[in-house]
Amino acid sequence: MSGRVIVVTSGKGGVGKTTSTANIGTALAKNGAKVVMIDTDIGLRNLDLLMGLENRIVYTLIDVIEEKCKLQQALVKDKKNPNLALLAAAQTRDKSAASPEQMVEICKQLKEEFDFVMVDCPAGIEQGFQNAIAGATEAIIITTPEMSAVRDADRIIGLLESKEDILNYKLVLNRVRPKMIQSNDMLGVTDVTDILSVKLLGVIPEDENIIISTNRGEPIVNMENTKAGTAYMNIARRIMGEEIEIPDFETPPPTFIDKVKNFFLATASS
Amino acid sequence: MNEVLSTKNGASASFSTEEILIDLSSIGSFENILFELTNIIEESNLRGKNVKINFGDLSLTQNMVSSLQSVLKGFDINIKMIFSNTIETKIAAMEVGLTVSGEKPEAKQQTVLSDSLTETQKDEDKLVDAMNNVLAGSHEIVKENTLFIKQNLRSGQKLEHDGNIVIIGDCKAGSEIIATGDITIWGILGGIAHAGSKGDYNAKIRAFRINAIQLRIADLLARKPDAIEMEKMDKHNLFTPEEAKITDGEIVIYTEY
Amino acid sequence: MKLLDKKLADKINDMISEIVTTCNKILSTDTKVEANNTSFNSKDDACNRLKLVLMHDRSQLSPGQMQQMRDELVEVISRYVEIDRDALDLCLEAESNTIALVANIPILRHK
Repeated sequence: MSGRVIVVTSGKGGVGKTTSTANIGTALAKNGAKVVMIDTDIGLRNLDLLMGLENRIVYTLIDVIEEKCKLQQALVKDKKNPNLALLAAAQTRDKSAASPEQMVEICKQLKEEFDFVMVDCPAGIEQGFQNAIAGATEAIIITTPEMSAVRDADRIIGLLESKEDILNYKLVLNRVRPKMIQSNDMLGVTDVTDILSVKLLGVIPEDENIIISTNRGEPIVNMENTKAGTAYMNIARRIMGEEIEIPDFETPPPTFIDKVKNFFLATASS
Repeated sequence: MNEVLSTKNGASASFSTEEILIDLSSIGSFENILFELTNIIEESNLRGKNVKINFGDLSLTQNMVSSLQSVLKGFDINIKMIFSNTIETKIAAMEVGLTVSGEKPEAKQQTVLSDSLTETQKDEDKLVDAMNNVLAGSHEIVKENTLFIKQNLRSGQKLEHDGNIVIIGDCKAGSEIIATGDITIWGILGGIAHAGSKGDYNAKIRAFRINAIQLRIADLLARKPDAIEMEKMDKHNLFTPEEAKITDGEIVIYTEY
Repeated sequence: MKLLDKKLADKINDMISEIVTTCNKILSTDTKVEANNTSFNSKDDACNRLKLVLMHDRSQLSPGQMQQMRDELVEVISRYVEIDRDALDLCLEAESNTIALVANIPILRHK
């Protein structure tokens, strides 16, 4: 039974692809799955930094492609979780160093050993994107509730739809600010999913702890009690088949008066 | 199997089983290069291929290397690596993002090197001597074939050389330096440095401050510890030079006095 | 111009349904976009602008898709009427808040 190859993409840069790859990958591994994460952003690699593994990279994806080393030698084990590994991108090359065919081959080999192959996609729609989606059968599209991000996500969805091998794709809405949604100053969850006509996998609230986690090189799911960490853990569980409801960010929480009203209404009707 | 094709005026392309080497070392000037290159591409049917180029003693600027790259891109040709005997060309190629090899290219039997040293290189070796006298250390430095560079290396830049490398400047995190001999950095080493790359266990790596992501000597590797917070690298501090070498089978950093 | 008889009219209706299905298949979007002009706060502005922009973005079919649609339409229509294939003119026209697929199909005779 071979593993699932999931590409994490967005179109727009800076919306949280690499952060999401790192955290969803770590969360899946925490739930017992064997996970490998591939950074395909050749020349501008970041996944190693987010995982705190930047000092441990000896061989990269390009070394594997150019047969300077075996695939196993290039896999860097996570500091904490032995079920989790990273295949880093090269920093001293660029995206023309790899081809979609080579990526297909690498994903094929990796899915025999791992339950999940998470492919971190670079921003854009050029060679880097084509390389990243080449070996994938599922996609997670990351967007934020901002116009440019949503527009770029739409383009990406269009490109994914025309690729036959990608059998399912879902949206993760990142960096939402519930207060702004409630005051109608930010696009809401239903707004975005309606506009894009895509299924929702999860919603990640804006969380300052993300900055702290990046500084430390420690994915936020490893920190206790964070909003974003919990959201990522839920996404991982949904990927593994669990049904977990997505919290409602759109209706404002009940005020004290509302709660009093509800109490009286409830007692009145009994 | 080495197959060599050449044009009348000096460019040649040789094909071994894995790679294609274009040898431009007998061409005298940059203008001729473009002309000869086009000829050799057409005659040897190199469109769409990956090639290595040997520039020999040609001295090229960054603009020249960029132009060559664009011309080759027009033929859908990708430059995998370049060989050069001159520092200017090596630096120019590096700045443009090409991989610079220190090895001798396969197709040409090249004898060395003290003969083909340019004037600049000889002057710079004198400077190397002077520097070495300032640095403490009782080891001998091989004076032949030392690549001397006066600039910072930034993330994504990779420099390979057969011999010693001396850099006046910093090597930022994300850069890579590979030398068959010693590596001496008159600045802060933040990237990856690999000395004695052909197996010389006596090779050494020196810098004002070694803050490298990884140090490699011959086939040994040492990486920067994760948890230790390094003090901020403030360039205005007084520096005490540091040296990394193999002691008892491990890479150890010594602070010179 | 002769009046069309009922049988022919039915056939034309069938043809038009097939054309619509073919177009939908290629355009593959069911955005029922009605730009709502009463905007009140920045979120509604964003929604309206996005819907319009995406409508325009999505209607830019790639040249390949445009050619594919043209070929399939020619095939469908040719089953019902004989047309001048080379004179078939197909384009997407965008107005303030609608986009229409406009086709000019010279008919030689019906089959």
